[in-house]
Amino acid sequence: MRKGWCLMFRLWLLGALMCFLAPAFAGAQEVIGSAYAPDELAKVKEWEKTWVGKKIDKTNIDQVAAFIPESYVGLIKAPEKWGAPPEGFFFNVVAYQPVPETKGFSEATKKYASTVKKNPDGTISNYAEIAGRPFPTPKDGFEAAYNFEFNNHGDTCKYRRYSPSINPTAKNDRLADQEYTEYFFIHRTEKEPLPALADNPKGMHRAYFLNMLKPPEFLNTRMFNIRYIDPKKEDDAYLWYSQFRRIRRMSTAQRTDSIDGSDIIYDDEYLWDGQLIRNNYTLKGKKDLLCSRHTDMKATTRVAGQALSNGLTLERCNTIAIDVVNKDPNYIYSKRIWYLDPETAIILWTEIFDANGKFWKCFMNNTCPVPTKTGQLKPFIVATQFAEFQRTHAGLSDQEYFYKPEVTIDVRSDIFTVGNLQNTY
Amino acid sequence: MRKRLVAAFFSFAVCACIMLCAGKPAQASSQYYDGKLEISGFAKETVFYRTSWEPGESGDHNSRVDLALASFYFESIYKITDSPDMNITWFNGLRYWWEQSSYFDDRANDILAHNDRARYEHPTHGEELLTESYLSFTKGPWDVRVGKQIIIWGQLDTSRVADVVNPLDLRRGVPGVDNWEEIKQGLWMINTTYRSTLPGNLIFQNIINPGYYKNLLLPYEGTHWGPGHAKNAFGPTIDSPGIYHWQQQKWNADAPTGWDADNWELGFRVQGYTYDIDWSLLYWNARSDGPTARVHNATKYGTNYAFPAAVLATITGSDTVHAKYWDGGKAFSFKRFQTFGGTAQTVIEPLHDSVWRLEWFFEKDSPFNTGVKGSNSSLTGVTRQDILGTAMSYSDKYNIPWFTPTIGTGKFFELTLTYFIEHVFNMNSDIVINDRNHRQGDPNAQSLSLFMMQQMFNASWTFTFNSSYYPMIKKWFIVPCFTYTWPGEHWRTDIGAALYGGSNNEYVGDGYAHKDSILFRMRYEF
Repeated sequence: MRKGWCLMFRLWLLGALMCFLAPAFAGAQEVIGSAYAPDELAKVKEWEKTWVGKKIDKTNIDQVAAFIPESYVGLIKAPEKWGAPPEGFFFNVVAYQPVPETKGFSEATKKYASTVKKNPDGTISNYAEIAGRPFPTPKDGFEAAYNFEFNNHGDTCKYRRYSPSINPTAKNDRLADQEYTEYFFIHRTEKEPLPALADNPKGMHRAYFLNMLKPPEFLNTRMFNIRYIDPKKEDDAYLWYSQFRRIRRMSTAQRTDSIDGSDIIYDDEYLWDGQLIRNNYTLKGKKDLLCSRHTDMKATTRVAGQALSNGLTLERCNTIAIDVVNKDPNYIYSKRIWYLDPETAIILWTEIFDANGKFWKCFMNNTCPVPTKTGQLKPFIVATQFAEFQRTHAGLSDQEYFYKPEVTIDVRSDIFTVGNLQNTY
Repeated sequence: MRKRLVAAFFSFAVCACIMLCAGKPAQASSQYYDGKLEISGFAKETVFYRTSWEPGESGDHNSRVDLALASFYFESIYKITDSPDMNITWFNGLRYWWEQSSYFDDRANDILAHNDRARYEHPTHGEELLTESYLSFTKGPWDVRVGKQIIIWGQLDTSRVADVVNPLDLRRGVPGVDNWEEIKQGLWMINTTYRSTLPGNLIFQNIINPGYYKNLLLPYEGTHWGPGHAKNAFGPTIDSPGIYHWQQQKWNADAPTGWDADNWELGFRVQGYTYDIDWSLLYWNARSDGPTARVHNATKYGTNYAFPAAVLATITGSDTVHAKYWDGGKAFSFKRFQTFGGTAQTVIEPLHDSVWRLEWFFEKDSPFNTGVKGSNSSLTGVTRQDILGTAMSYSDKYNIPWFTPTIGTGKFFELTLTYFIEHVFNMNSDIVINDRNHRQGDPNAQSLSLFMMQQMFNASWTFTFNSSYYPMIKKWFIVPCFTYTWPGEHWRTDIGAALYGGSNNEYVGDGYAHKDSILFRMRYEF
């Protein structure tokens, strides 16, 4: 008993210290667009008295089922089907904590949100000249989608992802391992030049460089992809395929092709990775869900074939629900439902329906404020868990498996060239 | 005893493959010393099981397994200096192979010339083990690589239209079935690249080979990829090597292999991006990888040495004579010529966002022999011809209703179609050019290649289909293959077939027409 009190006291002391130190560390970071109004938060705190610290598994999942997408409730209740270890699936409930944005992002929001100019079709006319959150209080789905789009991932970032393609039925994984470096040419808030590079003749929005390390036949295969400011312009992508030692230009238009062996398509990166104007967005209101917002992936466990990592920490978050329908009537998905974090504009959950309207996939982003190289904390995706419910298949992209994502690091803007693809070997 | 050991090794390899493929997720990393050293490679066992023989060839084998090749490749990149200002890396590629079919097959063992057998079964000198070894210095826009290198200039997957730098080693494999590291021979050279900031992001490349030469290596007589022994031997039941062996031995003996100032090679390439087209232009000045016969000497070598030697070998049962002992001088020369070429690739949105690639070459004064009506068995002299070759490739992906979501599990069907045409200017109807798929006297040769790929069931299975058709000579081959990717990350199994067909007209042999085989391959990649 005494030991328990002692532990409680230490935790309290640690918490208090964190409260004092965090603002100093973070440098006046602010929460933009709080998930809860004060009265809603009071109700959440009341609920947390019962649930915080509880381990949720198939025995008690029904009691919190209202806060979990139905598909994942079913998954947790069927551990044998989804490759769980003998103890089944479980996660832990933690208390809701507001997630502030970086100082630079908050300041950019204050500076630019009031200057946003819209075209008659709802698109932003000064899109490349602003940064931060363009619509701190989004009035419709398109505005909320823009908030998602303006997430600059700290201007630059680098992470290495451990990505098993999971077959729960056979209880095995097939592995991929990639290192991803991203650079934003516009919407910058953390490092000069702000908010955009002056010298950007090609009109680039953002670019990434991908170095593939597994499977072994792809070792040292590298590619880069450039997204343009012009929403009508297709991406440019080039691949250096190490086995053939050739630089291949890639067609980027067929974005519904699945990424080798996984259940995700090229449009699924960050749970949406295409030009915004390709979809129609309908704001459906709020949906209070248990979400992964302060997750340490190192504290999670999984075995081969396990569709969902155990030990995730989920907290309540009143997400913004948006129906996302592609303008192409033949698109592979008839609808996605985004559950957007109102504080970080990261999609925390998404439910996906096939072309016939039948439920197909569910993705969960695991996020956490990650220290940046400039001493801030940037809300960042540290893992993505996804399951394909029609064929009982799953996947994971763990961005903390090898090292913590590096955010607002020094990345040269000129690495996204054919010359550099050849240079790095 | 030896036979038993090989059989034991073979069984062990198969059992190990099965046992180790139990689905355990391997956590091994290929990076060491804080990422400074990166290691990769593979070990694989490839087996070709022949389903057809050319006339008389079945007597040269007592097993249908006429290729059982264990091959190993090990690649390392060590970052000596890795800083924003300067990078220095050391790249090494090592290979080893062990061909085991002659251990199973006593007849094949008997007919293979012992010099050939030694080189066929495993590397015989260190140079063959080291595919590449170079230091790369990168500073700002400059990248200088010094050492033994394989350079690939083309953009097509298996064709070598503009890919002219390194000679091939076709003794144990062919492009499309094996990796470039296994079938290209590295050359010692200085490779300098400068990345400019000029309009079009021009990249300039210069290659200087101060004088290291390797010639094209062709498969040995009586082996899987080589011409049949029965067709070349002086008698189908005689074990001594045939005429192809003697000729090839002389080619290799006459090749200016190794270092010599006369072997210099020089190349330039410029790459750029203009009007949404990635393009390159290249120039290459080098000795030919293949031989041109010195008619008088070649005839003398055949009649005065090779034939008597073959007869002697037949009588004595020994083939201890060797082309290098013939004192009649060189019968083959490896002549210098120039190649101009280029590549271009772009995505054409109105055409289903397909990728189009163009490659071309122009060989200036390419050396050829002439023969009576183009026959290489009655040579008359040497000539030089200008040749233009162009390949156009179309690559696309298709979402096929029902098939893509159900079998492909979302992965699109991929297709590449390549058309190639080659034209000889001022065609001399006597030039010996059948090795380039020309009909006698026809200045044009064409080919149509089709590559298809479909990943299935979350990429646990992959189907590939590689094929070519040569309309001028009416020959074709198809190689369908299924690959299973075992759980974890290392093991792959390929099961496929290599099927050949087409006419056997007067000037184009049917060397591959009877090589239909079942292919089985187990790979461990790391």
